[in-house]
Amino acid sequence: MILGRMVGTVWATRKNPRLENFKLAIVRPYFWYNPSHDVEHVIAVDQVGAEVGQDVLVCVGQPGRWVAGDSRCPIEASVMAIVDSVEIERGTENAPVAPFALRSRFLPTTLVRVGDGGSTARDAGLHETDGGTP
Amino acid sequence: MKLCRVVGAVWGAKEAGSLGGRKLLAVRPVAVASGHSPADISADGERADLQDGIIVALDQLGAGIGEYVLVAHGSRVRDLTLGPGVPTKDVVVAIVDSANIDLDLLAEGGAS
Repeated sequence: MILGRMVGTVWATRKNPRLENFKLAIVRPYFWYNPSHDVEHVIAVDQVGAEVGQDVLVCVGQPGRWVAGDSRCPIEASVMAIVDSVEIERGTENAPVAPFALRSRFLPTTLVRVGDGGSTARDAGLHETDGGTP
Repeated sequence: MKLCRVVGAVWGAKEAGSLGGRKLLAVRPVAVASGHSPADISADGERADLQDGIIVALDQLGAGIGEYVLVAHGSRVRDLTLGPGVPTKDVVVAIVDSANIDLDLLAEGGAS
């Protein structure tokens, strides 16, 4: 799963029949892992009713199709949850977690920093820049 | 899925038989966070900023150059739309009427 901010919506009439009745959200990930084409957005099917501006959890891959309710729809990602709050240990939020985190200070609106900031990204295990699992 | 703009078409005089003469499009992903893209994206509107790099996607919907499309990636997506055995991993799954992006939400350092 990835954590991102819903920044927009997409409307399409001519589309694969299995995409009918899906609300499509444009999500900008905060922390990406192993992006297939190194893009800085992902279009996710939203069935939980997220609104533009909210932080969301997005599930990528086959589980995203299960969440969408039709395991045969040609989608890549689904919104799984609307995030109330994210806690990250102080000092690790700017760690090089992913390519886009490296380039930006784009951080969750719901971010809460905890701890004393004495530890490093390495201690928190957040230093991986490639691979990773959903 | 990615929001992309169709920038061209690709034809092959000789191509894998399993492609079956299907239409191939050259697309580029929209750089939503570049800071220069318009808030409202549609084929008639102001041009969106695009990311570097071209993806060649197979199109069954009949998208034209200049239109915005959603391109899905992966072998599962290919199996579900075209059936197995088609040698592509990128498929056009929707032609976008319009997309709206809240540019304020893309600002860096959204949290203090």
